[in-house]
Amino acid sequence: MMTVATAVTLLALTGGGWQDPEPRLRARLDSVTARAVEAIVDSARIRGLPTEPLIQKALEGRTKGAAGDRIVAAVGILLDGLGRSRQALGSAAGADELQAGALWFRAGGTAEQLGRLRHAAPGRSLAVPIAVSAELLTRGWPPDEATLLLERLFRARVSDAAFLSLRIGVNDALRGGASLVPAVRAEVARLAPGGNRVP
Amino acid sequence: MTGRVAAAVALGLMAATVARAQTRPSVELRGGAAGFGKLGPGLGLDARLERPTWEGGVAFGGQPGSRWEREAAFRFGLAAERGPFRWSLGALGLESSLGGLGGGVFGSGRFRVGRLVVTGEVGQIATVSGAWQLGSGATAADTGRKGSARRLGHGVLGGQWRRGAVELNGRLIRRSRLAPDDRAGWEVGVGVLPVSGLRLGLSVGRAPIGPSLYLPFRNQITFGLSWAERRPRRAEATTGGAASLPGFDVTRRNSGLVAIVVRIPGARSVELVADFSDWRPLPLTARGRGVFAAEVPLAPGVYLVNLRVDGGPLQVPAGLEGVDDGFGGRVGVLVVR
Repeated sequence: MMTVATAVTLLALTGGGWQDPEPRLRARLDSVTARAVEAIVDSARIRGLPTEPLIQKALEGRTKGAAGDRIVAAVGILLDGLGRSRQALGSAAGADELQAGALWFRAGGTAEQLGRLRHAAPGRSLAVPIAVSAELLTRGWPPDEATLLLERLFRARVSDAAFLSLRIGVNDALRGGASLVPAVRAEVARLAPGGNRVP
Repeated sequence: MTGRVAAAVALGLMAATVARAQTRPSVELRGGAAGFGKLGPGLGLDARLERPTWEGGVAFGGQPGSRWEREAAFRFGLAAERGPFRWSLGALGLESSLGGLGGGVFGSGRFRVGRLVVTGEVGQIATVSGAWQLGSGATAADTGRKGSARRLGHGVLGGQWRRGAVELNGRLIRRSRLAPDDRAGWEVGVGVLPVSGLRLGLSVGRAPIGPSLYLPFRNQITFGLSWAERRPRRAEATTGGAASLPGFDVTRRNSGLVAIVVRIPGARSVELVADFSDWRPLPLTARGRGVFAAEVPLAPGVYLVNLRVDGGPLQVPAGLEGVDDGFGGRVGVLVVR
């Protein structure tokens, strides 16, 4: 956050520095908020991070009636998450992976865990597995166990479609009265039978 | 009997069983009463259960009184859903009739040996379907057809168009190996869906007078009432679609567009508010029975989505647990493949 704040301050003091003001921001946000968000977007551009998620976060805040300072804070937090995602997932990570990584952090996961996932599946896009898992973390799936089981699923070469089916299976189990963690474990066992025991 | 116009009041039993929307019913009950001119009033009930991999049903029809007819048809088939199409192949069907149709008395038992039905969507609001089935069996009657055994082909090509709570439908029917008057039929109808699950329909045409393959065609006017409990399909996640969750289905079309279908019984309007719409409301088209849909051009990826129902607060779509949105609320995570 310090990096973001510094960048915003510097860009604001120097009167900008961004090349292409984002018309959607200017059209939807008040001028002060728009300039602050544009500064963050420009910072992301300089760092080679995806900018569209940041713009969308600002527009989301506007649609949801958030105050300007809160919108700026949320966009800054997202930029921080995208930056940490890239550190953990590597410079080759795509925009979707970075956005999913930011969700992972927001749901309580750590950079070290994300790095382990990258190490377990170096050649595949992690966008779908991480996005699905981030949602499960939000529901209460412990990040440590999630990391272990995701590593197991990656070793079993489980497809993205299977990760989506895992979420559906968990939803079905929860509607049937099951608890979250046993439901996730059962789905993992279904997709990757014979793996390591769950701690 | 040719050309005779009969008024019928039926609860869908003889109504067009043509295309259905993508949100197919898992359980559908139909029933009603009908009158066929000199044949007198008729009663019918049709129930069917439809699942992603199989379907089954039973239909009864009858005419109370001295000149009565009763018939029943049972069917079972295997099904598969791929993209916008549903294929079903009937492996077993059984029909029996006993009655006084047309002044004669007859009884019969028949097997349907094959029945193929294909249903597909055209855009968001229209569906088409085609069916061909073969029947074989024996008929015993006092009208000189004792012990006859016939193979019968029965084809239906139907279409349905729906906007909001109004539906128009039609079908063409073709049969082989019957008398010339009973080889070709048609039916057009209009339906309204006042509340979720309920359908009122009116149709006119020349169509078979009951569920049996062998019953004759008659000119008729049919009033229908049916009720269906619709549950979401959930095969997309493992069949190349995007994500399929209770109340919120996402399916990639062959056109490349992504169809989003939301089921909220009783809702009057539903809007998507998402990052792929720049967080501007994207109204969904009402398709009746609490179903709302839209097709949007989405590349594979991770999207954030909220719903607004009847102008109320933003909420996470059913089936998507959602994550903290940073503004004190939650937003659903939608993964599109």
